[in-house]
Amino acid sequence: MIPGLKLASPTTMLACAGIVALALGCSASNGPKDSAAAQPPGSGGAGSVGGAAATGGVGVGPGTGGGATCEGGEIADNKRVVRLSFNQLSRTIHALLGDTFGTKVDADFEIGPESPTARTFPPLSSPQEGSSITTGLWQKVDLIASAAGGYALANLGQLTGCGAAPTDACAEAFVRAFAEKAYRRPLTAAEATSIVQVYTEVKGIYGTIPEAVQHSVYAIMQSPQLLYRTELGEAKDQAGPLTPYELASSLSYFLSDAPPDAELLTAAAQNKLSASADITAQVDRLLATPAARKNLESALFSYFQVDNLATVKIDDPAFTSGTQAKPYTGVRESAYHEVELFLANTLWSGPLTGLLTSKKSWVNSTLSGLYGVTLSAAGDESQFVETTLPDNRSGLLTQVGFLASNSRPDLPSVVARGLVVNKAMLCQTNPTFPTDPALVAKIEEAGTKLASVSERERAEYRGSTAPCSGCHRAFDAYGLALDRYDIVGRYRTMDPQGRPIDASVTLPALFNNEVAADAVAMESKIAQNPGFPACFGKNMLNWALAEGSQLTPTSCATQAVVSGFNESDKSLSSLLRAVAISKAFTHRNAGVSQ
Amino acid sequence: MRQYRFARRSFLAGIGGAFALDVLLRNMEAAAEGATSPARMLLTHFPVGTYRQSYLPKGGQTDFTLSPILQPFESLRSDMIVLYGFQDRLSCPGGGGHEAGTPFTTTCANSPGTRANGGEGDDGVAGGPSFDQIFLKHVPNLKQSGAGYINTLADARVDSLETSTQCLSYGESIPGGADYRTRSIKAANPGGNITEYTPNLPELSPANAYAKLFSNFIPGGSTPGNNDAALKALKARKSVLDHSLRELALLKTLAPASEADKIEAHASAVREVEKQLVGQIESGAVGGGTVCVKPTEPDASLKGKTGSKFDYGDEATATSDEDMHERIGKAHAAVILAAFQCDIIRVASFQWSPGTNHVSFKGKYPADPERSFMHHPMSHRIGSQSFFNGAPQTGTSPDASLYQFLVAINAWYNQKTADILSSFKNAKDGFGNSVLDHTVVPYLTEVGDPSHSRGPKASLIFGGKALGMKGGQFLNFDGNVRPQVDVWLTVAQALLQTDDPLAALPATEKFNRSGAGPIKGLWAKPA
Repeated sequence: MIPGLKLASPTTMLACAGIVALALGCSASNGPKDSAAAQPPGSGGAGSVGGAAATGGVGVGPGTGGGATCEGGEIADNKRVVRLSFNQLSRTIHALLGDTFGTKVDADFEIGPESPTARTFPPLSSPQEGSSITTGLWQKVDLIASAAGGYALANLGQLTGCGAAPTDACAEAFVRAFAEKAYRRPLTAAEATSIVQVYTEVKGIYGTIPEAVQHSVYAIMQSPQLLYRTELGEAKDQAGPLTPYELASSLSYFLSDAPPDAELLTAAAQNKLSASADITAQVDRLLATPAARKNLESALFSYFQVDNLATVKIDDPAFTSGTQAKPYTGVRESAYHEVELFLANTLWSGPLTGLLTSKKSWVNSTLSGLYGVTLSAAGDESQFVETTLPDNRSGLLTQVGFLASNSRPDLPSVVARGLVVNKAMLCQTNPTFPTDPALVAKIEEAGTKLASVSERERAEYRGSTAPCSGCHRAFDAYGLALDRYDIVGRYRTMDPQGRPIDASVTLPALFNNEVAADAVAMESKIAQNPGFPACFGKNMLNWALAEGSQLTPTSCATQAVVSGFNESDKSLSSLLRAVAISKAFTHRNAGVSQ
Repeated sequence: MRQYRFARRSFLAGIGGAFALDVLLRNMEAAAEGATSPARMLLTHFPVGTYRQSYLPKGGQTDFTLSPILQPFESLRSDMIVLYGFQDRLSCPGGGGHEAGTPFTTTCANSPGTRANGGEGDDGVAGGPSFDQIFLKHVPNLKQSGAGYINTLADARVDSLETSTQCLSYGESIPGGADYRTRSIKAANPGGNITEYTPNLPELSPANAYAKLFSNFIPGGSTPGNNDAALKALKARKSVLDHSLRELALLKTLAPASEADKIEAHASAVREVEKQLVGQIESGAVGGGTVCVKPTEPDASLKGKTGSKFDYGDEATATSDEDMHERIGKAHAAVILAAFQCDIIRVASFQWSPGTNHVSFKGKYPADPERSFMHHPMSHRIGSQSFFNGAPQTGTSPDASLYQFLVAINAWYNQKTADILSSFKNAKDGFGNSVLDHTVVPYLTEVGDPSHSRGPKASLIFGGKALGMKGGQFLNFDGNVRPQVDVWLTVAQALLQTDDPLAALPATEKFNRSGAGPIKGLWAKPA
């Protein structure tokens, strides 16, 4: 049982394993050509990792780090209203009505960080979410809002501060203040009038103040001002910055998935969110909080699809699962937690490239044998110790968690691992599986012919045989470099048939076909490739923008972020700062008026 | 203002006691002569197909002996139409057997592809609205104000984050127009973006389904005090919704045109419920109104499980789910029944579990009767259609045990569905008529059999006797398969009261009409 586990599924590649092993061909027309040409301008949004999803843009190759060939403007989106995801709604409810009620709502309505869909990347792309509040979603929101009204009625004195028998003046003052807190900004005159109208009408219906407060809270909790955050700016029909309060909400939900705190709201009130220095100060303050760090770590955890670990099938008795009482006796749970600790410790110190090149990980006694390391501290399996990895490992790609979650049950999958690296680290467009029956038949025929050869020989066949080569040359090398790690993630120099495994690979054209001696060298080269920060810049920007944006690594909006990042210490924090001060985040185009 | 004519005593007597809901309808004087029960539709589903030789009845069209799988429906024989031999030639690039099969079954439309959900990549999307939504748009008086419909699911556990197998209803009908709700999503296949008809995700909690449907009612019997309380609650809620609509209207003026649809979708959802409220307020909760008093709330602890896990090769579980599964399913059905009786909705869907379910059952696997095993993962142990459609297997070998396990579960679902349908048969609506007689119930499955074949598939239709459905029949089209849409067109005859539903449904509807038509002999216009 993996603690706190929510989602679990194999990668697209794993589930298509039967075809993947035989996926020796694809139409050259599906190959990863220049997406800027192949896709509509600005297309290739944030989609999740893996598989045949043809999303993402062309990686920026060597020497193309700047904005000279970028697409679109630096302002990515038009004015819009963005609904809060259910996790953000959960956090908002906790902030408004406390953790006792918030926790009950989380459980009753399956929202919150433990819900099955909490970590789609980005959240609104989940089918359980969506960008519109249609009937089904509204019914859920309405029930939650009604429950909030009931809670207010049951806890009237404590919530309102007006005592058990509130006066009109006190109750109305509470309603206005609650609305302001819920809307995350001062009320307009019209908004104040509207919510007081509810209070007055309901008081007229019932003749009592408690029911008036109850229904006012109910109304506020289902108001569009709570359920959406606006990105409309000051002047209608004109491009421009978000208002200070809008920016406060955007920043807070981006970094913490929660509403803006008092300090951020004060900065908004004092108009101290327009200068980049002001924004970065708030970013730094928020990034120092556990909530923000946990939020972003979870986002990246889902992005790398390590969630798959919970359910991946590995046909090796060494890939054990723990028990409810002792989860970390299992490799599955231990590897999962190792990735959690690795992200928590690596993302916030040192450069972002540490994801690939760090020689440190956090290993327990269950994993130490798989890595061939001796722990520096004694303890049971629940103790995860900072450990220096051996020469044959570095970063995330050589961790048991990543490797096992991207393996077939019986074989490590060169193609699956290659596709994941191609997309997750470089935002390359992965081709779709061929569906042409004649081509599929050829693939199966080749698969039969090559059934007994080594993975390298298969990869060489794919790389040299049309139409396979059109696609596979772009990503097989990454998987081949990782072929020295078996389905459990153990290091090996021979395959199951006793053939030596040559770990050196010729990297794709994106790397000018340089040779990498092994996986560690490959990770180092990926870390140095401009495509890596461009990919992360795109992903973090799309995460921040929540929905709708179709940014690619070569979008001007992305390139602006990457430029800022490249002039920094190149940490994740710096990347997030660059996102937060970017025009893509702070400004909106006018859009077409009504 | 609707007028109800019914007999309170007969109504109460007709309540299915097994579900422990006491629905009390206030006696009303009929103000209009000839008022009759409205037509209704309940879409139901059973997972993972069936097993031909253990499914097919023996005998002729009207004189047949039910098979082991169908035996639970014996008491409903005259309300039942048994069908076999449906197969679709619909396309869904990359779609899985269950995953494309489920939207195929209820939309009968080609699918543009599969959802990029981070899972297997075979999660088929709906390429058209499902027939519940089509009927809500085109069948007069089928859509009530308020929610209009409810979708329910007793267990949502799937393999790989798929949405398709846990949803029967797609593309909510947009009020006042010809359209349905769609959205652009990232596709796993064929890549890029595709347009799907938005899934109308089901409710897992019977208590929440109840709250959604009965939120405008108050508990208790029909007394002046309760009526007064009901009216106050309605008016107070209207005030809340009015506030939402005011704010949405204001937001619409501030936002650009590109956001109009989004805001309007939200406003439309609020407006529909407000319409219902206004109707109730106007019809009066006091002295002569048609208020249906709120039934007892289901146990809030009952809720379908969720989760996604690839359990193949690891199908055993420590405990069995079937008792809780039955309780949740029947609680959902009871809420739907009460909502039909109160005429709050006339369309609903009820799904036991996804085609890719992980519901476990004990004592049904002869080779290991003491253990519990999960239904869908077990079905993957053998991939041969000829095995599943071949001679029934006996003995305790692993293969024979698997066959018996799957047949037993098919029969289990049928038994529990029969219990539900019996309660619908025995329950009276506000007009004093059997709910089932005025409700057409297609009972469908998403694959032919566990080999993921698209056919031949089984389908059953229950109820609708008063609408003209001719129960007590068995037809086998195997050898001359028909498309699934023919079942829907047969249902459409009863709802639209026409023998030519293809003419009645606009050609713009997305379902595949090629070679389609209602099945003759299963419906005749009532006198």
